[in-house]
Amino acid sequence: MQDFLSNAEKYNLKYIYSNDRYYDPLLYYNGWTRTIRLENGIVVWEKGNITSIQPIQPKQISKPMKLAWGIIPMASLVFCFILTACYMYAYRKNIYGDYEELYIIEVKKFQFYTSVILPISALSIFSMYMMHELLFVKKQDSPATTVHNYFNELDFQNFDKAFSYFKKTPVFSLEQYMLEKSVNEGGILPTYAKLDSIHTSIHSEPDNRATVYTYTRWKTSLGSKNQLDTLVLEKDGSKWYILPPSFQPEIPEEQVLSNTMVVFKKIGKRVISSFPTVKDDRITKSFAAFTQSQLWSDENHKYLTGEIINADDTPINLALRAKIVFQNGTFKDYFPATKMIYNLPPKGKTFYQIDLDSNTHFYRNPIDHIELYLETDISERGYIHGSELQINYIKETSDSMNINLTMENKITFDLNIPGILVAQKNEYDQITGVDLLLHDNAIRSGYNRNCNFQIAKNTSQIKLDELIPINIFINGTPRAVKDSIESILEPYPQISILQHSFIGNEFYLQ
Amino acid sequence: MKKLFIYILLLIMVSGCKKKVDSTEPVIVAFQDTIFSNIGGKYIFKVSPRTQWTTRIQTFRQTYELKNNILDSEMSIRVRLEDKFNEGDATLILSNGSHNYFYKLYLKNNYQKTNWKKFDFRSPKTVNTDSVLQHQSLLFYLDTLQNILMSDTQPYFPTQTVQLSPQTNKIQAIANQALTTYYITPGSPANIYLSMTYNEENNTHEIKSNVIMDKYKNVIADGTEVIFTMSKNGKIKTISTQTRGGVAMIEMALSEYEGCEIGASILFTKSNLLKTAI
Repeated sequence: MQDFLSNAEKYNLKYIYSNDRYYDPLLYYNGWTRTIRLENGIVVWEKGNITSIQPIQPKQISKPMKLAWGIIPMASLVFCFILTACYMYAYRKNIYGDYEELYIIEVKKFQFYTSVILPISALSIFSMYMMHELLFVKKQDSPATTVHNYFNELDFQNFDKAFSYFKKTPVFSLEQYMLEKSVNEGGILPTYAKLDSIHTSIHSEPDNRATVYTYTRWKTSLGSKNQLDTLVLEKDGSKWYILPPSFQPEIPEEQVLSNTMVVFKKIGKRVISSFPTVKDDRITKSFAAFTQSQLWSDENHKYLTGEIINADDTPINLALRAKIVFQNGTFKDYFPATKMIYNLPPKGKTFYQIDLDSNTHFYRNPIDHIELYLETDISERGYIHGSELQINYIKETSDSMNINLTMENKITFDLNIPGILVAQKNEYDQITGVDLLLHDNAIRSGYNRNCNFQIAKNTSQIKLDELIPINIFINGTPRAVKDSIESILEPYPQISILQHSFIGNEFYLQ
Repeated sequence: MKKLFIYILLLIMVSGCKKKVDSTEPVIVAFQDTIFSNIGGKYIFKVSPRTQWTTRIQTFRQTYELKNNILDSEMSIRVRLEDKFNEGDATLILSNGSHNYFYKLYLKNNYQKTNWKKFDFRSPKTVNTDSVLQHQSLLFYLDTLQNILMSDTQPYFPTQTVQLSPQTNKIQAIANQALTTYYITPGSPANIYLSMTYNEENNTHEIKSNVIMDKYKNVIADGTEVIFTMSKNGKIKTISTQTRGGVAMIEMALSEYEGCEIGASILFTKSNLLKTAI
């Protein structure tokens, strides 16, 4: 599935009908844009710049061959059946003669009981065990069982059942629980993830209390994520209950938010025609440019990095493909997957990284040259990627980089999956690597969140491969790389950050 | 068994027998290269006696079945198509069983041509003032039957390079035909100048740009992304905003960012740096 959605250009995949929001992050971060929600709740996702499938001409076969293919296989099968039947008839006649005798096989009682009674009794015992598990197992007889069952209900979003594991207090009702959840949560883990595994570590305390450290691994469409929760449980009678965590509401300074945004609508110039053409939308191709593009090799594999700008006055969506042409004349296509922003506002920019194969692969098949194909199209939604971002500090060690940010949401929509696209740069301002970093929880309008991201530092062992030429084509036309852009007020020259958040609201922005 | 095999073989051979067809090529007696509308044309061929012929004219658009008259080994074909037709190459086809003979013709209208419709295709459709301000124009004229206006001095599809004005504009290559509109859009901003004013009502400071224009004094497009950047003590804050009427603006509580440096940028273009007062 991931290969299909990430490399849509390879499979000429233009539309996706999705009824499971689990795939929303994967679709969004691979360049898909929502177009419409159908009446039955299914969301239609679209990808720009996908070429239509070329009709495949059926292979022309001569008439005798067609007849042969139609008759001979079936005739052979029928012939085999007839021959087999003849053979069996002759064999039976040869062995038993013309008269059939009825043989009665005597079965011993022991054999009868073991072959009939044993399976029935095993099935009955298993069914009874399952019924016991379902109906009579105590779900709260220990802190670990309680926590396991609580997370199981959360995984299936049975919040009313999940609430039953909390200790009842006059101030913590189901309504209060749901309210706190709706204010505090949201994001890739609570909304778009499925529970993969759970491990608990219990620290018993006096007065029938226990602190349970819960390590959960969640499956998301963009990979696994780990989470640590600390829950305090208390024994009441024979059952263990989770004590409601203290709720600290975050109150934003403003009462009302207002935003002024320029929105776009692609009207197009559709020719109403029954003439068979796919080029009816006579609308211009947008201007875009590469400001840098280079090939790197680390210890294990090769990859391409660079930067693309939207030089046009309208939002654009992009489709990028790297065609690696080998010295033996063959070629292979690669795509940037999640390491790129596919939808840019007017005069916006994105970094990209396209991971290629291993060095061993390229040692066996040396690269002759690389062709980078960028296709652009006017976009009308999906170009808002965030609001305000503050870099508090960046701490570097020999092999990692710790980025501390404050992300503020000053727009009137929630940032359901707050994220950033980070480009690491060398002293010549060349991008040496790109990472997509996502925060686990959503940021609601008017709120801010402190985020701490850790990325592996691109070491000096990576090598720039300047001997292999990179040819750039934008909308089919050969183009050169434009001058690079220096950022204004750059206290961290080793890093550049672009906001890349997913807004779940289906208003025309995304 | 041997006899049966021979009979089957003979039966197959009999079914393979065909009537002999006279494949002698017709000899041209009278032939005209061009068929004019209203006038038509007459063609005479000498053919083998007692042969049957079908005749037709095939144009790039359709096939016309023609009547022929064979008298004393002379086949005469009278061609009268329509009053007006699509001009161009055509083929006269004479068929005798499985044998076909092809003769090239040219169809030409013989009426006074008026009401020529102008076609003017421009490429590229949109020009940015950052790029070359030139168009390629492909200009030709068609009549109501889609016949192209031909001239002895010009090719069918003459092209020319059109120099464009650097001012933002929407221009229709053919008047009153919106489909032929081409666009001259603003390019990159030439400069950004930031200024700060105090907003008494909200007790905030407005950081506002000038009306940002490109090098030809065109106001940059609405919705252009402007990144405001504030820096203080190693902390850096970026705010992404959009221009309206060429102006970008953010509002901030000064207490939050006292003594910081503020700048703005649109891709290649950077603003002046403001330092907020302490």
